Amino acid sequence: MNAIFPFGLPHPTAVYVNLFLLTFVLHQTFMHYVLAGSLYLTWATIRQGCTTHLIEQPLAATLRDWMPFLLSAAITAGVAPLLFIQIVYQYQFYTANLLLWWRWGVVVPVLIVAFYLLYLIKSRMLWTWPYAVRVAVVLATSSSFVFVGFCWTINHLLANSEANWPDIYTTGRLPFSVVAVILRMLVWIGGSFATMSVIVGWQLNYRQSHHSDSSTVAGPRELAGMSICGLVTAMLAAAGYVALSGAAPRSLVFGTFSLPYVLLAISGAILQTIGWSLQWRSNRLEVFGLSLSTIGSLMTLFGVSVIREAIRISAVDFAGLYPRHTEAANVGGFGVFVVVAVAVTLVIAWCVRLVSTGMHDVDKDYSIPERPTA
Amino acid sequence: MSDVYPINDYGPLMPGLVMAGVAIVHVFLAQFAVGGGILLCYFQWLAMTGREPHARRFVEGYFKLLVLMSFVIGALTGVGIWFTAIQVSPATIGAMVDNFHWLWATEWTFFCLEIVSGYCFYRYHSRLNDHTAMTLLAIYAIASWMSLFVINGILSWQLTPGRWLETRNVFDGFFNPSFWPSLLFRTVVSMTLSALAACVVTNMMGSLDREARTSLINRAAHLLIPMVLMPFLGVWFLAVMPADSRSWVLGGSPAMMLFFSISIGSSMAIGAYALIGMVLQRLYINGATSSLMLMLAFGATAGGEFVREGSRKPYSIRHLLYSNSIKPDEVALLREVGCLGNDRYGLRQDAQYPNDQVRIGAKVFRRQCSVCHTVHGTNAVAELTGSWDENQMRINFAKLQHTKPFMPPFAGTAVEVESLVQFINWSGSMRPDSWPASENPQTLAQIADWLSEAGTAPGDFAQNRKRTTSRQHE
Ligand code: HEM
Repeated sequence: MNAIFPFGLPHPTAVYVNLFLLTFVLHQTFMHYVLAGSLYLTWATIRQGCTTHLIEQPLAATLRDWMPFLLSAAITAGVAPLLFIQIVYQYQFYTANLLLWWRWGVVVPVLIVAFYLLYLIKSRMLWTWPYAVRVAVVLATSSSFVFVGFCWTINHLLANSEANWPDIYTTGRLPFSVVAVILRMLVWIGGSFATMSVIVGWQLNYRQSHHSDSSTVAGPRELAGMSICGLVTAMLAAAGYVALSGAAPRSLVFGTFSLPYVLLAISGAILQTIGWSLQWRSNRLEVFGLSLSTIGSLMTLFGVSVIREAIRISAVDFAGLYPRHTEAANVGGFGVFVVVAVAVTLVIAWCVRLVSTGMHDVDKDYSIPERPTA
Repeated sequence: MSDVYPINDYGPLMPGLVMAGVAIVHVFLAQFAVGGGILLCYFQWLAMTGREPHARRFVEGYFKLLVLMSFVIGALTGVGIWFTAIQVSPATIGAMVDNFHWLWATEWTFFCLEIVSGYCFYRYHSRLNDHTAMTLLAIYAIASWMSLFVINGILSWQLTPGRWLETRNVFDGFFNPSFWPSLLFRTVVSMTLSALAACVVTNMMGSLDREARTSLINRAAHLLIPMVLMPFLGVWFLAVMPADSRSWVLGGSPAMMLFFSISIGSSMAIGAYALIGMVLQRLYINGATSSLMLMLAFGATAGGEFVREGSRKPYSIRHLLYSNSIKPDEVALLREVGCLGNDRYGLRQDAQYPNDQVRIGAKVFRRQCSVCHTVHGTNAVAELTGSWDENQMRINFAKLQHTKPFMPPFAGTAVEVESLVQFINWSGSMRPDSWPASENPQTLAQIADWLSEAGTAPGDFAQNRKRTTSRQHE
């Protein structure tokens, strides 16, 4: 591990790890929208908001409207890293699944329930129900997503603690420090607000440019505030997490292998902050500021993902996995994948184009009925 | 030697049943989504050409159901299947991923296309012109059928790897002998499910009068016509199945034959009603009847999936991996060194076992038997062997693949056979606190003889017939 990632790695390993990372970034992008979106909605609902027209709550309304689709996207995008992790760390990943057993089994039912709750949140019906019910529904939804993320964290940590597996199997007890788990969770919870702000920023910017009444758009300051607070939380938590981890992961993270990615992640965070500061100042969502934040966000997501990988690599016998990767690379089908992936990407772009050109000129009604007064 | 994973105990359920439970729900919903794409294209065409005045409203209502069922439970049970497969047999799913990951990645791209085209339609259909709506539906239908195309190749490979066993070429494995009959059969099933769901949806469209509903139902019934092909496709599938697997389905295994019969019986009932009543006589069916037919179709899918899972036995991937995750070419070595050498997981609640021999037996059971058996629940070993004496158990375990050829050969030493016998006897005797260890060297020598008589090859279901023929020749 004396070269910058991925240069020191054998070719097949580098290919599989990079495919894992790229698709994982895609998964995180969509997942962050849903996670931070549901947390924001919880807060907005508790604050007694969200019962009024889009004009007063554009951010909440956009989130409500789009979260079901983005959850679908997060789940579908999650399938690809789920596939590649089975090539890169098959033994570790499977063992972690098995050790978590029924605790892992609850992830899918919880997600199914949360998915339907998102449709309920999207419907007008919920917002005519009493305050307590509305709060209970949004709280259940956001807690479900935090819980699913928590399960992935535990699964990940478990996969990296091979020495403890026999004990965990017989006793069922998980030997992780609560502080470390909380810090790790704060990294992705904080980071999710930054990613979500960028995506919603674009959505609201689109509305802003297609609506004569610019008051339909949320204050960019709210988004900027959420993004910057999220980034600061994530950075502090990440620093704490790395400080708590042992010397081996620290030396890999700050060594040649991944130091450039630490810098990439930090530069990304700075770029996002600049992007949002510009928009804060002008109090408008602007293409330039959003573009800076988007590029910054992608840099941070990729950088953090490589750092996360460096920590994992320091915890497993990574060189011992190379022969598996080489063997896997010998099976055919890569050409089919590349050709189909390119074709499908083009068709996806075509779908989006079809929708934007094949639409009648009717505007969608986003309004939510007022809560009936008693 | 293969990696040994920690194995969980499902109490009265055998892991295969858990797998089948998740798989049945997922397959049912996934096939509904595939057929749904085809059906929606048909109805959109009917709407565009003015052939069916209510088709447009139907498309909207049906797509909503598709999104709410298939995009949510369908997609997530797909992830659930993956997690369950890891729980049940990590070695099997690992081998499938190792060999077909690029094709699986290809399938993933079709998933992406499915959700983008599907959501574009779902979100904007009321504002789209007809041509755009049709194009999106067609893309959705093709993407979802292609995902069936890809996964069908990978799953059918498990039963009939065909030329792949010699060439190890991914496409030889993918286009294996059961690929086409299985793909065509599943396509017909998908169309059937979508048409039956259409009858339910139509009945839920309260604002339509009876005449309008009858007309929509009769249109949907057109997708039931390919059911006439099912018997031929079924026979084709049976013909390309390995002979031993076919023999389990056709009577060798009562459970499998029962499920196979349920599947055929339900399909025939649906087919006859659909073709005679709905297509020829153009009858109306109400919500209750169509729901019942859909439930019958669920039963048929359940039977079919059970047979698909069960008929691979004793393998989970034919000639490559036994159901208990032991490779056929490892058996000889494990006979020498034992199957527990690289199992580093202790027993949960270790103190309840009366002695080390029983502990070893419990671990052998966990490693070699627990994927298909429980001790006291489904397919319970304690009950199955309840009337056997100890020697009968010894010989039947040592010659496991000859006891029943849908079981793999025992992959361990004579000591491990004896420990297994003691563990099962102890379990069958209400698990007393103390249990004498059986350490008779003559018994072990006898077991060793039986093991070598059994050999390490899988059992031969046609041994009887061969024996008779060779006697006739003598
Ligand atoms: C909205 C629901 C979900 C949430 C909130 C979520 C959250 C997360 C989080 C927080 C992590 C990183 C954990 C860590 O590093 O500590 C993660 C990793 C991951 N997730 Fe998701 N996830 C969701 C759904 C899914 C689904 C449905 C899939 C599969 C289809 C999936 C696939 C993955 C994979 C493969 C990883 C990487 C695991 C690793 O590297 O060890 N996720 N997820």
